[in-house]
Formats: sequence, structure tokens, C-alpha cells
Amino acid sequence: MTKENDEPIQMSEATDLQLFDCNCLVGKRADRREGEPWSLDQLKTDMGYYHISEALVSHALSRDYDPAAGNREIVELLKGSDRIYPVWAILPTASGELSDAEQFIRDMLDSGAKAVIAFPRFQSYSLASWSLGKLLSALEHHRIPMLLPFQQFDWNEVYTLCHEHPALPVITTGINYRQLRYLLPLWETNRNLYVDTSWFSLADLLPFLKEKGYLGQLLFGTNYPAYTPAAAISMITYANVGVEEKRQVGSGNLRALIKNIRID
Amino acid sequence: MLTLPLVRNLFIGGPLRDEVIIDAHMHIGKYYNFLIPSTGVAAVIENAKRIGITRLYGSSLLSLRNDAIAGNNMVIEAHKAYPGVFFPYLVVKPNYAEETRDILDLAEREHTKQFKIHDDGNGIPFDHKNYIPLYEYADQIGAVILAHTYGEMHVAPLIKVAMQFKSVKILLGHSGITDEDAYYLAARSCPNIFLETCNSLAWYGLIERLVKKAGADRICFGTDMPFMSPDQQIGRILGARISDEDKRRILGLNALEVFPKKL
Repeated sequence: MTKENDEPIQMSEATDLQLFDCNCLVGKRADRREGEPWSLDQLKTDMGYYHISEALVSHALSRDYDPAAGNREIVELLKGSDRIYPVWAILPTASGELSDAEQFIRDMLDSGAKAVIAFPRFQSYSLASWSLGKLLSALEHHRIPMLLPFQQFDWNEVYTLCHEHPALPVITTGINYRQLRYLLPLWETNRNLYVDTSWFSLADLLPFLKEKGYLGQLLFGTNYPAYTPAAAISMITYANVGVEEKRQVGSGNLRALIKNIRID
Repeated sequence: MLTLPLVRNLFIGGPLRDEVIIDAHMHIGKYYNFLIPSTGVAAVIENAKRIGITRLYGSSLLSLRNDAIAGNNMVIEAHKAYPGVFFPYLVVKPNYAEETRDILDLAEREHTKQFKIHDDGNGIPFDHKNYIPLYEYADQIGAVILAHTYGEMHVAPLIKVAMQFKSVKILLGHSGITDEDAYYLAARSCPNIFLETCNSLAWYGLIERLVKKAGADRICFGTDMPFMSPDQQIGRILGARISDEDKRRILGLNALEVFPKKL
């Protein structure tokens, strides 16, 4: 990209939705494609260009190398970065690689982190209570959102997770556009289950979820830097719903979850 | 008159006015694999209008999966219901080779010069002998063939077809979804191959690379409605860091050249 191409256009309308991205990654990663950015500087440039106000960001080291190292790195990297919040990766506390549940949560909240992320398939552990139970209960107590990327779970596991921890916000990210037959029954009983928009690119999704009463479960997410933010943005700006609903998905739903985090 | 940059619409939504926006890849009907909220022709066309698409080229999902004859009749009827807006792709299925002649006769009767090929379910490569009657016919009349592609396994046989049947214009659906270099090779090797953009995986920088490596004059916009949202797909073009001139080519000006002029 040239410097000229990175210049954001000046317009007041763009800031109306105050977009808050729940699905963002920074750092060098194993599966980078040609041309994909990885640096914080480029993330900030792109957030400016695409008028994204806030973002939850995890570090590629947390996924591809070592959660503890990635959690430390993202905090260091984001020091002084307003409105970009760290996401910490979790592991079963019994593995001894991270602190015990209460200490982990104290440390992450002290660091400014606003959510956790789990990669149970990549990192070879179970989402079940015998494995993650203590940590999940602590996260639930604090109402800390838990990001769960697509292909890291099956929907039966998500049902159990949401059912056993009804106050834990579970955000499945990067789910593809073929998932409504799983989601609609899940949402009948699990309103603590959320999804992001990054790959949920089905035609008429927003008006359909609005009609079903599930628009509150949808969060703006880009899957940056694998995907261009432009696709996730136009899914909202062009959606056949009102401005209030666009704001709700673009930022309101996630902001409410963040606001609901209990510090005690 | 002040011309506003097209990227502005990315942030405010709303139809692009006074622009040529043509959807070169969409469908009507249902699909077995997942729930689609809007499947009717009317809903799809309303969606298209909402973002400023003035012309759509679509195939029937019934044709692609089960019954080419019945599905092709559906798109012919849709064209009659929405003349000047909806234009049919007729599907030819290589595992029902005995139907090909009837489908080409239908195309002749209905003055249809667009065809769609897909290996979903049949798994037959695009250079199989059962496609030859279609290619020969399409070559005679200068027809457009839209092919579903997922990387090199589909693109490589289509390069062979394009080189043999030089008057056929071949659109590679989902260009760049994987094996990007195969698409650039196809565009560079064959002047009758064009790259269609719809892609649920909105790869960062893909549109920019397509323009740089294949040329903006070889790219046509598509939505893949009702699978994918036209809302999402148009953003990939509007938000790309390319010139507005290139965006206009991709969104519709190229399609004006690729598709038959006599409607």
C-alpha cells in the first residue's frame, strides 16, 4: 500500500457507528498469506482508514507459539494504545503454564485485557468442565467474554459450555455462513452465545436475526489481518435494518458485554 | 460537479447512484446444506436494487444440484418476470449428458448466451468430454460460461478449454479464493478468461492483487447471492485501495463488454 492509499477519507458519517471490532490479531503468524499485515502500526493505520474506533486484539504468539508469551507480548505491545484492548489466551490451569484461575483473572484485568480466547483444537485441550471448569467458573463470575474461533469447537461443546456457565459470554468468531441450523436451536436456550460477522456473510442476515429477536447476539468482527475490514463494514452499513440496529451490531452489543465485566 | 470517492459509500451504505453495477454471479432457489433466509427471485432482486445493482446474471440452485431442465426453466421464467434486470445462466450437467442437446436448444429458442458449470455433486472435471458439445456451441455464438472454481484444480482445465475455444468468454467464479497464482496465470494466458470476485473469505488485499496481477479490465463483480450477502461483497470492492476508475470497471463496465450486448 502506498502512503497515499492509507489516507482515511474525511467524513462525519463514518464515525456514527463507532465500530468496535471483536476479532483482531496482531504479530507474525504461521499462516500469513502474501500481503497480509502483521504489525501494530499497520493495524492502527487500517483502523484509521476503515474508521474502526475500538478493537479487541490477541497476539499471534498466543495462538501459534505459547499463550503465556503471547499474553505478555500483547500487553507490552498495546501500552499507550488507546481503544485497542488486549485479549488473553487461556489454557487448563492444571497444566501449570498459566497462573491459577483467580490470579490469572486479576493479572489480565490489571493489564487492561477485556476478553479471553481459547484454541482447544490447536493447543490440544478440552473445553469440558473436567479440564477448564475452575477457570470457566471464574471467568463467568467476572462476566469476562470468551472468544472461541471457528474450527476450535463443535456445537455440542458450545451448548454444554453455555448451558453450564449461563453468565459467561461466549463469542464464537469466524463462523461461516452455513451455521444457522445450529445457531437457531442454540439461541432458544443459550442467550449468552454470540457470533461475529467476519465470515457470517449470509444474505439478509441482519434483518433475519432482527425478525427472530437475535440481533443482540451478533457482534462486528473483521478477522483482521486475514480479511479486509471492508467486507465486515459494508455488511453492517448496507444491511437492510435501521441505524439503531446497525449501531447495536457495530458496537453496542460488544460494548455492553465489556461494560458488564465485574472487576471484584 | 463534485464527484465523491466511491469508498464513501462503504461507510454510509445506500445504493450507488448513476453507476453501472452488474452482478455476474448469483443464484435463485434453495440449497440443501444450510438455511438461507431469502431465496425468492423478488427478494434477491430487491436486495440487488438496495445496493445499486441494475442487472443480475443468475443460475438456479435446483439446476446445479438436481435437475438442470427444471432449474433452467425457473431462470427463464425469472428473466421473463424481470426483463432487463435478471438474465439467466443455463446449467449444463456433465452427468446428464443426454440432456445437453435440449438445453442448447432452449438457449437457442430463448436467445440465451450465458451458461453455468459446476462440479458440485458430480465431481467431473471441466475438460471432460461431456462438456464438449457445450463448448462447441458456446464457441460458435461467443457465449459466456461462468465456472465455479476453488483454485488450481478447477482453473487448470479451464485454461485448456479457453485455449481451445477462443470465442467463449470464461468467467472464473470466486477468483483468488485459494491458489491465487493459478488465476493470474489464467488471466495472463487467455484473453478470453475473466476473473469474478465473489468470495465469502474476504482476503486482505486480494482485490488489490487481482488488479495488479491480472488487470482491472479482466475482473467482474459478483455477489453469489443468496449464499453471500451483496452488502458484504460490494464492500470488498468499495473499500479496496484501488482507483475509482478501476472500481467502476470491476463493478460493471467490464461486464458490459463481457456479456452479450443484445439483451
